[in-house]
Order: sequence, then C-alpha cells, then structure tokens
Amino acid sequence: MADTSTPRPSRKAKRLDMTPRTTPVWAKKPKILTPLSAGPTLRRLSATPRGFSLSRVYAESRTRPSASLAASEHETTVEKERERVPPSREQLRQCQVLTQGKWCLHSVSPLYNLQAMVDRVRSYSRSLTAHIKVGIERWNGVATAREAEETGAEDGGRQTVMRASISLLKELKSFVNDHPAISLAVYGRTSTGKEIVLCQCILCGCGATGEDEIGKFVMLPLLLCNGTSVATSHLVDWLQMTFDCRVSRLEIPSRHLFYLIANWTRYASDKGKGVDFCFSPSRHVVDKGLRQIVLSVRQDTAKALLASIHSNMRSELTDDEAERFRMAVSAHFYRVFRIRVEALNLTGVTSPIARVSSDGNLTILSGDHAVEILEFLTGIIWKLGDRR
Amino acid sequence: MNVEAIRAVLRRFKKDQIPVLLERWTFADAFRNIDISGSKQRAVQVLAAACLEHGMEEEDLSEADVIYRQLHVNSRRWTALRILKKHSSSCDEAQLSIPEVLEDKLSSCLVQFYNNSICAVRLRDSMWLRVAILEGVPSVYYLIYHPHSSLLLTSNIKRAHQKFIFHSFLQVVAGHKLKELSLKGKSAQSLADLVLRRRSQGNFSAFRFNQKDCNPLVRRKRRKQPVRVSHPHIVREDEEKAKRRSTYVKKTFGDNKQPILEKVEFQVEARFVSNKHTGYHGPFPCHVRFEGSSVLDGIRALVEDRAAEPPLPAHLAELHTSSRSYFLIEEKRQTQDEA
Repeated sequence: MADTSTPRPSRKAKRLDMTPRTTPVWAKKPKILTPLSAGPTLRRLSATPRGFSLSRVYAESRTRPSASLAASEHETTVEKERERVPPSREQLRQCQVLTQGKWCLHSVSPLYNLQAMVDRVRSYSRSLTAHIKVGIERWNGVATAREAEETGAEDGGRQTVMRASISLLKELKSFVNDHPAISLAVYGRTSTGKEIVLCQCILCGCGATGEDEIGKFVMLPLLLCNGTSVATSHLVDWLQMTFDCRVSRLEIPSRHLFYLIANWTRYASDKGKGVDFCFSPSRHVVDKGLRQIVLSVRQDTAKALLASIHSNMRSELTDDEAERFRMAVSAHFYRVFRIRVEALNLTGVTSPIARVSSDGNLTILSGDHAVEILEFLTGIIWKLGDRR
Repeated sequence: MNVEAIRAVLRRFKKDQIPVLLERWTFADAFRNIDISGSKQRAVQVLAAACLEHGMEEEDLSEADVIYRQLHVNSRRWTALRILKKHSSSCDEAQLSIPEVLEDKLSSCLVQFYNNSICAVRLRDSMWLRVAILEGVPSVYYLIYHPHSSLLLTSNIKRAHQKFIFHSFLQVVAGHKLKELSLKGKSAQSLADLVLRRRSQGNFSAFRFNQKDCNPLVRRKRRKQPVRVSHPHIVREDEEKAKRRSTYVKKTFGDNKQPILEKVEFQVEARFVSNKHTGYHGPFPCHVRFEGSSVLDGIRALVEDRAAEPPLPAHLAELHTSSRSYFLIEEKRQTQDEA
C-alpha cells in the first residue's frame, strides 16, 4: 500500500534546493503594497518631500549605487569593476558649456520612466515648451502690471518664450555605465527680437551608476541651473511633474566643503591661483559689522600641507584625512589670530579649478576637470541622502 | 551756463539733502528761502531757474559738486598720505585755512603742468579740494587736507596726473615728500580719527567724549536694585570667565563705537608648527582679509561671542592705534643672544 502521509515530490523539482510545495500552485501570493510596487495612483506618494529616501529604492537592488565616498570592501570592488570613460575631445567640448557662468546646484531624486530615445526626447521637448509658455505667460501678466505701476513703462520685464530643447550629452559621465547627462534649454526673445537663452539646466549623474529592481528609475542626482529664476522654477516644476521626482536646492555643510576643497587642491598645478576659504561669523557679529573672513593660501603651500596628510596625490582623500586637513588649518589660524574657526561658518571655498558656496552656487573654472568636480558633488549628494 | 548741466548736478542730491545744500552753498545766499516743496523734479527745476537768474558760473557749480561729495563721502575710496616736511620749511597754515587762498595757490602751482580748475570748501576742521584737469581726458579728483596736521586724504588719482598734483600740493604746503600710509577706507572721518587721534582710541576714547569726568553738581542716579533670581539653584557656570571676558573687551576696545574700516588685510609669514593633526613644519604664507561694514566693531563682537579667545594678539587688539589697514605678520626673529 502506498504511503500517503508524505507529499509526492513535484516532477518539476529538478533543482537540488527546491523544497516540496506546501501550498497549492493555484493559491495567489498576497500582494504587499509598498511605494516601490504601487500602481500609478500611489506612485506620487513616493515623491513626497520627506517620504522618499535613496536607500528605499535600493533596498532590493542587486548592486548598490557607486559612491565616491564609499569605504567598504564590497563597494571598492564594485568601483574597480566599473570602467571609466576615457577623456576625449567631445567630452571636453561638452564640458566647456559648464565653464560659462554660475550654476545653482540641486539634488534630484531618481527619475521615473525617463527614456532617452530620440522620439521620446522630442516629445519631452514639446511638452516642456508648452508647459513653460503657459507658466511664463501667466507670470508676464502679473509682472507687467506690477512693473507698469512702479515705473510707468508699458512693457516692463516681459519675457517671451520661443521654444525649449532637450538634448543628450553622451560623453558627460565618469563611468561607462552612467546614464548620459541631459541638457534642457529654454530660448526666448527680447523686445528687440534677439534670441537669448532664458534658462539652461543640466541633469547629470557622474559616478551615479546603479540599478533598481523595477528598472524604471534613472539616476541623475545632480541638477545644474543657470538663468532667470522664473524660467528655472517652471522647468523644475515640469521635471517634478513629468518624472515624479523631487528637486531640492543643495546645501553643502562646512565639513563637506572642506572635503571638496581638499580633493580639488590635488588637481591644480603648483603655479597659479591659490585656495580661498571664506568664513562667515554668527548673525550677532555680522550685525555688528564683520561680514566675512577670507583666508587665501597659495596653491603650492596648500599642496605641501596636503601631502603631509595624504601622500598619494592621485587617489582621493578619505573623510578622516579631510578632517585632519581642516583641523590643521584651524590650528594654524588659531595660533596667529586666536580665533576659533569652528565658531565660524564656512560659506564658500575657491580652488583653481572651481568655486562652490554652502548655499549651492558653483562656478567651474577649468573645463578639463569638470567631470571630476561633478563626480565629487554627486558623492556629496549620496552622503547627505544617506543621513535622512 | 547750460541749464542741463545745472540740472544734472542738482538731480544727484536726494530730496532731503536739498535744504542742506541751500544752507552750505555760498552762491545760494540770494535765494535761500526759495520754495522747494513738492516733488524732487519740481524742486530741481525751480532751483535751476533761480541759478540761471542769478548768473551762475562754473566755480559755483563746482562748489555744489563738492557739497554733494561731502554728503556722499562713502561713495569714494580714500587713501591716507602723510606730508613729510623738513625742519627748515614752513608755511602759513592759517592762510591755508582760507578756501580762496588755497584755491589760488594750488591753481598757480598746477597750471605749470595742466589747465585746471580748483574749488575749495571748508567743512569743520578740513579743507575739501576739487581738482579738475581740463586737458586731455577731463578728470576730477578730490583731496581732503587737514590744516595744522600732516594728513592728506585723496580719492583715486590716475598715475599720469598723480605726480604733478602731488608736486603742486607739496609746493603749497612747503612739504618735502608724501608718504602713503597703508590705510584705505570709505569713511574719511574714520581715517582722520585713526591718524590724528591715534592715542585716544579704544578705552581712551571715553576721555575724548567727556565720559570720564562727570560734573559733581549733577545729581547722582540712584543705585539699581539687584535682580532677584526666582529659583535659587539657577547658577551661571562660567560667571567668572564671562566677567573676565567683558572686562577685557571694555579695557581693550572701550564702550564707544570704533572707527569704521571696511577692509583689514594681513599678510601672514608665520611658520606652520606641526601638531597632532599633521607633521608639516615649514613656511605657510597666507593672506587673511577681514571684510565688513565696520571691522573693528566686528572684532570686538567676535570676542563677546566667544569666537575669539582673549588675550588677542597685538595686531588685533591694537588695530585701532596702528593707523593702518594692511599688516605684515612675521615670526619673531631670535637674536643671537637668545639663540
């Protein structure tokens, strides 16, 4: 007689680790609703200001997104496996755009369903043009009336939008697996009929390689904006609406500014402009009359101090080494002036290749190192995002 | 005179400064009580018409320009210079306090080099000079001279004209050389205080402002009752330290407002001493710039705010008596005996 107490193994159980089924095949697994697997109606909840953290996207991912500041062995191994994009003339040409003017930095959460095909990019351009035209016409109505009241002129501060264009900057990336950068530009016309650029934004993710299980999120965490505030705000609104992302202004704390300046000092040659640290005292002292204290150090001197802390100039500094650099500069300043740098706020740093402030204003002075600068800023965004 | 040129000068004044102009302007004696009510545009038109009616000339318009510069003294950056004189040289300083005499003397010395127009206006204890070079590219410069002192403040002067203007001025005051002090700023009065009243800055300014010697016949104020703390266990931890800090601030900087300096620069040539964070020991030349609307008040606030630790080094604590805004800080050189 056959033994019916033990269940018969399935014919499909060819793999050794397959355990016999205890539940029937026809029984459906209960669906657990999470923001990652939610349907279209719940997708917007994932983009709330404080509800979305980068770690949730990668909770089930196979590989963690690369970060320049990662210190663990696994991440170092992942970094080694990634292939860097070799410098080329086309990359240098695309980087020259970044050296024109001052950029406002924003951090962007992963963009949902961004497709880089030619026809999709054209449809995005049309959608952006329509959205910005409507927004600016509404603003013009308010602004023209206000300006007319103040100055008595009929046509005050009016902006006319012609078109918006979106293009890919395929060489503007650090690693081969990074998503190519996206340039968004809004063109307008002045009252004399001349075409001008009202606003230009560049979405980039240098060093932001990562995969998510759904495969629909694109990592472009750094947004650089340049142009009129009205056109920029409408463009950011369109991005948030179309790709269900959150764009917020990037504020860099003092500690990370020291990290940036210590790393950027490695790139410039010994001759040339030096390194500037701009400190701002507390509100009470600013009200009394001292707005800022600027410490300028020559490039060769800064490099010599850095070499005593970090011997290999080709590799990045760790957080500890950047902290030691900061403490060394503070100790020297205290010895000469008996003023504690810790009691001051570091509001901006300038190196021969770039200038950045704590409220997210960036000026790139050297196109040759633009990709490295963007890579470090992307690393700062990862670090600030992990804290939430 | 061109009415547009008159209007252009008068339009620069703010509406509430026009009565001050009428008070100080010697040309406006004839129409001092003119009606300037209404909008600024109307006031300018009325004044311009009155000026044309009374036969205004270029010198009168220059005087109005100097008065404008006196009311907007912060719009120019002033450089402080010291007049060096030889023991044997002397000039009649009392005569140099009369605007017309100073104008004639300087104009006659400078005419050897350039066609010029000089206008002098007295303001309290200083003589304001407007030097207009009429040859080549017309240029206008301003000089502030304090008679009976060795101080001269100048606005930015082109190199091509500087040598000749300084030479002419030295001839007038019987000076030997003009030495540039490392002192620049926008507040002319503060620069004059820093140079002419060096010894009465900081805590000693209380004597200058008559705050120390009180009148014995004035009734003394009643003593304030001590504030009673509601909770007896609330005790300030660092009360002694805070008291020492406030005593130090009062002794070093005093209670009065400090002279206004917008920028103070230090070229630091001190060596970097190795510490627990780095083994680097060597030269560390750097440049430090303090900027703000009033740097000296800001440094006092840094000590009160506990960002700076007393006692401050001499180059910060004695900044108000140094008469300079640019310093070079070097390591103390060891003498042979000390070595």
